[in-house]
Amino acid sequence: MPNKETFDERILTGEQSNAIIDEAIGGVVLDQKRHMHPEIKLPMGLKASPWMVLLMIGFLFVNVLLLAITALVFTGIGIWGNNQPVGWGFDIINFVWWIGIGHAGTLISAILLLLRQQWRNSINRFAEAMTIFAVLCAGMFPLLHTGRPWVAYWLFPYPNVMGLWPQFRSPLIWDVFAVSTYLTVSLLFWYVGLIPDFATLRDRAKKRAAQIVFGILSMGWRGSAKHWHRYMHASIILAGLSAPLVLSVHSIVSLDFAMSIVPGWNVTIFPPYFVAGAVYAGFAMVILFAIPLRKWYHLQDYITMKHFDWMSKVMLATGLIVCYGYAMEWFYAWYSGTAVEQSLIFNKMHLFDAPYSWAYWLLLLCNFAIPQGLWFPKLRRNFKYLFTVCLVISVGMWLERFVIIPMSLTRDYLPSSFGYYSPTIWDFAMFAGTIGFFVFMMMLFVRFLPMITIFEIKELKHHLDHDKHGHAEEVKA
Amino acid sequence: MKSNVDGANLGESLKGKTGRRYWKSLEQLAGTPEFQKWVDDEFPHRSTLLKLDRRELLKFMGAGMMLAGLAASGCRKLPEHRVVPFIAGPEDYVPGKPVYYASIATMGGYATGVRVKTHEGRPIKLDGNPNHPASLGSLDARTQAQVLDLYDPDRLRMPTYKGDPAAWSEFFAKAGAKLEELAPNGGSGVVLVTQMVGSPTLHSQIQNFLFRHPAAQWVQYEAASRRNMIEGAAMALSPVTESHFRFDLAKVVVSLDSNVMMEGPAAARYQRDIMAGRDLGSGRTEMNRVYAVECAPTTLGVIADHRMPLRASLIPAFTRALAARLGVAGIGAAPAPAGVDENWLAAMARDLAANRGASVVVTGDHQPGTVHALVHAINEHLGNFGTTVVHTNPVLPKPTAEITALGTAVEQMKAGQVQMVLVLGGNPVYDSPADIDFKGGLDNVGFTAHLSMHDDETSGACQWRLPLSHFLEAWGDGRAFDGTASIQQPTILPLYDSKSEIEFFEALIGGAREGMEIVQDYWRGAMGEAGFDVRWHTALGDGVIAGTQLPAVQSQVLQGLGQAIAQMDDDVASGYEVVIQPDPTVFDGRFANNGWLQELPKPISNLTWDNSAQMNHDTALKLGVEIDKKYGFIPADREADMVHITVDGRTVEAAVYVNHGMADGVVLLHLGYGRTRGGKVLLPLRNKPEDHGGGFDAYRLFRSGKNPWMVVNGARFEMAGKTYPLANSQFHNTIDMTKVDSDREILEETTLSAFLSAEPVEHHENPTLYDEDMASGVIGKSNTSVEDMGWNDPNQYQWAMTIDLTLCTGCNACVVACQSENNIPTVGKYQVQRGREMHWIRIDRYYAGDGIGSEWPVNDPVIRLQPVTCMQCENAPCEPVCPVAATVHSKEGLNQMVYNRCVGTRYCSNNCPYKVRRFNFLNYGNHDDVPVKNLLNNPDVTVRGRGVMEKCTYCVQRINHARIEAKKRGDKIKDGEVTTACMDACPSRAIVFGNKSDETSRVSKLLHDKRSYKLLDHHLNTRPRTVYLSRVTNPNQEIEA
Repeated sequence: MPNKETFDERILTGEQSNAIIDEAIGGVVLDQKRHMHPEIKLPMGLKASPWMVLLMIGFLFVNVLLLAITALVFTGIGIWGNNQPVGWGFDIINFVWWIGIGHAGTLISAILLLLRQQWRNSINRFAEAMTIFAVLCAGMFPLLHTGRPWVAYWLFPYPNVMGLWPQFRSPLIWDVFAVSTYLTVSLLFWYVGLIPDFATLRDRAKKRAAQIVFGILSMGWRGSAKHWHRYMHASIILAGLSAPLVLSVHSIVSLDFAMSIVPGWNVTIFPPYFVAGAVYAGFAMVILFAIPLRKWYHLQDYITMKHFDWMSKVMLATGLIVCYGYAMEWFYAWYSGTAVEQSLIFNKMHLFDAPYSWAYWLLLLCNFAIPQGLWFPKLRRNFKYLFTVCLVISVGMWLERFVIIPMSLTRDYLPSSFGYYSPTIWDFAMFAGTIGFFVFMMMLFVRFLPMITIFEIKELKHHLDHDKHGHAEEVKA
Repeated sequence: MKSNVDGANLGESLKGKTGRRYWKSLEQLAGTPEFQKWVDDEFPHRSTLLKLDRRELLKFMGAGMMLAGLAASGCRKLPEHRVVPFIAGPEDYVPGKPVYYASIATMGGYATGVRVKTHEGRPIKLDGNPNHPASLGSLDARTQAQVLDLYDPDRLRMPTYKGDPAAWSEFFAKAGAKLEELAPNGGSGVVLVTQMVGSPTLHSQIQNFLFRHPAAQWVQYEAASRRNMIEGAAMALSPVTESHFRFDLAKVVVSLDSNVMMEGPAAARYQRDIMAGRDLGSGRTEMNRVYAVECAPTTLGVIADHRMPLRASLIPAFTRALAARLGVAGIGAAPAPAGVDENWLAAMARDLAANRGASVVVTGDHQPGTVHALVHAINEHLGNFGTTVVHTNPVLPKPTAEITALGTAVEQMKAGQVQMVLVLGGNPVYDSPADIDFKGGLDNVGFTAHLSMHDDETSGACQWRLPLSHFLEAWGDGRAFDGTASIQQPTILPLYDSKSEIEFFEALIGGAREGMEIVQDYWRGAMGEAGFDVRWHTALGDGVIAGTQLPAVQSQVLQGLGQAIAQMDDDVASGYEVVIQPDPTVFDGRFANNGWLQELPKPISNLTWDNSAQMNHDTALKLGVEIDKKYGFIPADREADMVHITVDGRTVEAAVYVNHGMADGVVLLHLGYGRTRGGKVLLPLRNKPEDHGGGFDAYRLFRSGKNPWMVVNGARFEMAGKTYPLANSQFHNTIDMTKVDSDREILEETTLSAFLSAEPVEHHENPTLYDEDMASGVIGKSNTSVEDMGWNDPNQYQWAMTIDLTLCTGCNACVVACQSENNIPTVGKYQVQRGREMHWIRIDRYYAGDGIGSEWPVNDPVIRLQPVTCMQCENAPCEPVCPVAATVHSKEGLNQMVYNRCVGTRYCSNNCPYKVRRFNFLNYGNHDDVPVKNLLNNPDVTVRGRGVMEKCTYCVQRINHARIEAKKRGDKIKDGEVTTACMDACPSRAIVFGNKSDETSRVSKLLHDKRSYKLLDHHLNTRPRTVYLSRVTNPNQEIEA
């Protein structure tokens, strides 16, 4: 891919018409051939498209995931590295990481919609898809990390003859509500947004099966003014519902830690700090997918350099909030005057006496140092840099959870109970499995659903065309 | 039935009948023959083959097949068992109610009284017998754990001959024939090898056997014997006696490389007596003073007011120097060995001299006889004979362990002069000194038999492997350290086809008496016929035979002993010396197949599943062990380096463990590991030592020479260039490592003088930002203090515990007691390495020193111990975070764990600042593959499944038991009626449990003791119910200054 593309301020480039938009985006779904190139060479003389390669890798790791889950349920949490005192390790790290990744989707689709940010149109669909798949990945961990997953449903407040309720004081119960609400609303929002596009696909499909399937999915959408009117209402309501979720879900996840008394967890800044971190990681993941996808499917006109510029700026801003959080931890340790808090910082930072200080310094490198390049427009528009930074941020945000969760647990109040955490092959299998599942689902999504909202692009084009005739300033943002 | 009714025949059946008739159907009314046939047919609707069409037939075939399948699986005839109900139940037998028996456990020939708790005929727990002098109600970890051996699935189950199953009768026939054959020359060529025999009955049987076969040899051998002590007594005393100590009368105790609280026949009793002299609990203002000079930290050294690490080989010189300072006759002037602070020694000597008749000087079993002899002289000189040092005739009928005789016997075996070897108990192939080739001897003998619990190394070398009964399965008897005799009564029939030694001898000499008769007959002879039945039953009930204590004997130190010793040359190490000691848990190897003891963290080192080559930091550095130089520990993620230790051409490869507080230049190895046969627990799992431990065989360095316990000179060391994972229940990096760690205020300690002069401490509520109502969660209710939250409702029982850090020695008795009481599983070495051990109570160890950072004295740190169990916080951090309310608070102040409700999120454990919660990461408690282990479970305590959190419950089952008893009385539970398992076991009586809403209870008083403090409470406001009493030491002012 070219490292640099010429940068202009437009969020929709190229010669566009409704038919061209339909073909460029809808055609990806309707035409299998679009997934078969560019061709890349594989070992042993095989050739395949990147889509096929990713799908197959994803499928492979889905099987790894199934294996890991089977082994876990049959044997017990003991196959993981969790121990005493480290009750939570990869399981909760991955949970928080995945939930965080989902956040960009909701932010883009809900908050930016409410803020009438037109640049969201090109990226919201697949960001939302990422949200849903990420939440699915995330959801597996709290379920399977319980010692007895077959009774994990006790966390739900269901009526039962024993009159037992969950304990509403526990942040884990708040989690259950937060995450399940999040998944439901995201799924609804996503589906509602897909309805007009399903109708387009139904109308453009040439194969009978596609016509029937999209026909059913489009729920009788005919594009009448009434439909559009209702659609607008529905999406505003759903956006209104989702908007607080962006803030609440990760705030509540952060309360799992902030509500506890574990030094390193019991930090009041956690809710905003976690939300910022989530958006940070989420946007990184969106860019990680957007860069290759637009290239492979020739969507450069729809996801333009301007989009990457915006997203980079969001990352920079949220990244700085996260780093403010780090700085606050140092301050807090000093200001508290408490031995445990101070030794926590010591344990994080001391290069020689703290077994995991490498993780902390790597985290600062990943989440603070390297992304600072995003201040420079030149670097923001350099795909190699941008892709690397996003990868680095994803790693950095994972390390952040590693630093917070198991590292804080290894050394808390009684030095006699200080411990050490090292993950096992099954921890990695489960984590890699969810990544595989995510990639697999994304590839299926790219294959079967329009990855950019067709009608919104048309609407955008309409606005832009309209603005050429005198309203240019209004849309420039 | 086809209807064949028409108007014509209707009413046919009524013809000729009078009166009102009832009918059911028209067919009946008609009375047709078809109807009659239908009535007569048992299955009128059945099909007949003729009526079947093809489809129908196939259906029936299918159904037939299916039913056949059902019959095969579900309807098979089960084997018949006869169930005979009690017509009249055994007296006082109530199912579900435990029955207790008094018995004894024997080690090294000496008995310790136990109280066996049985449920439905299954022994499930061993406690101390309060009537027994060696126990006084408490029991050391090793003895308690022996109940697990009873249910060891690896036990030998039937006699075998060369590996093939055989019958006892076969054995006795063959053995009888062999003895007959050897009878003409007086049984010459017969060798009996036993462990130390303390049982009067067994001894009389052996005497009887030897009377019949006068030329037969009887060799008594046990590796961990008290040989040096006996030698010292023989050297020093006239008449030669055995001595024991009255530590309860001692104001000053000096230990010269001994650990009387962990080793020897009266360890638990001595611990009780020494610690009772340090107990400030009941308003006492005096403490004894303990000095410990030792080569490696022991429990006695940990509690000592003054501890000095000193090489084992310098102890003789030190003892002479002490004797010289005290003015023991004949010693003359003796300089203190190099490195010993002259002032320290002089101050100690003055302290001893100032407490004439109220001091004890003791030395360890591994110190040579000359040291023991000189210690006798010191004690006599200090006027302790007859007061704190009591002499009696030897308790064991044959007190010596005959290493030389064993060597001679093996020589004869090799020379072909021996035709028959009977090894009764013990495991000499494994634990005989390395220069005695017992196996080689056995291989040269025509008839060899081993009576043993396990198919161990010795069994492997014998033709006959004979199962030995566990002491809980057999009758027997024994004597305590002071001579008090007890009857060992069985509490269960033998699980397997086994015999006790007593039954074995009876059968060997052709007798037919049962175990009980044999023991009874002996004691009938000893006690006399008059009133025997009453005395017998009293003895069984009490666990001791009254009046059998040996009388004190006047004994004097021989004239000229001082001069003789002063002239002796010590063996002084020029390089590193090796000290060999029995292992603190698996002892000489006999308990190596006991999972509880394997997983029990060894005192102070907290190692599990392995032994190690222990040495101090400097020695390790000099040997080339890779150590983090700054802090002197091997980081948790690094494996231990291995070292080769070669003595007389025999090499042991062992992992190095840096044990702070050892003397410079000493390498300590524990016996009991490196076993190769005898069970699954002692063997490295799947031949991968890193998975299962197994340890290193220190017997390769154990020699039959003068003092097998020490290799003063002549050991070579070289690094093996390999590493080995040791499983430690506590990592090394500990307190005082950084500046910030030092103000966690985990341990509080003071000196006696400071304590006595201190003002009583006011107990304040923790400061809060909120007003009290808010803090207690009772909003809108004024004048409500935190006390009224129901946490401390004085109308309820409010359970609380105090743990006196002054008294805790770290002996681990509480850990095993808890494990036994609460069905706590063992998890194996790999899981311990992962930090998943399940013990509900643990002994935390901290090192401390004056300096910080690199300056702290790694070679001679202060060692402090702290037992930690669930604090039962009133304001428990674990409770609000559980999403399913599986851990909740009771009105009586218990932090309860509801196993059934737990889904296993582990959040509670994360949020527990004391880290006392334990999670079943795997199905640790499942014994489905070894069902016999299920017999051990305490039926009052749930066996936890996989994925469930567990923790200390304050032995809630015992509380509930007491509650039921109290309700039956119509009364409240009295103080002392509920004891936790840890409290019962503790020989120091450091743990006190009770109801704190009863102001008169012991625990209430201790809670208001000015030493009491709550761990981490001032940081976290957890309001623990388990309260510590800070450690008080009684240092000698002259040394302190």
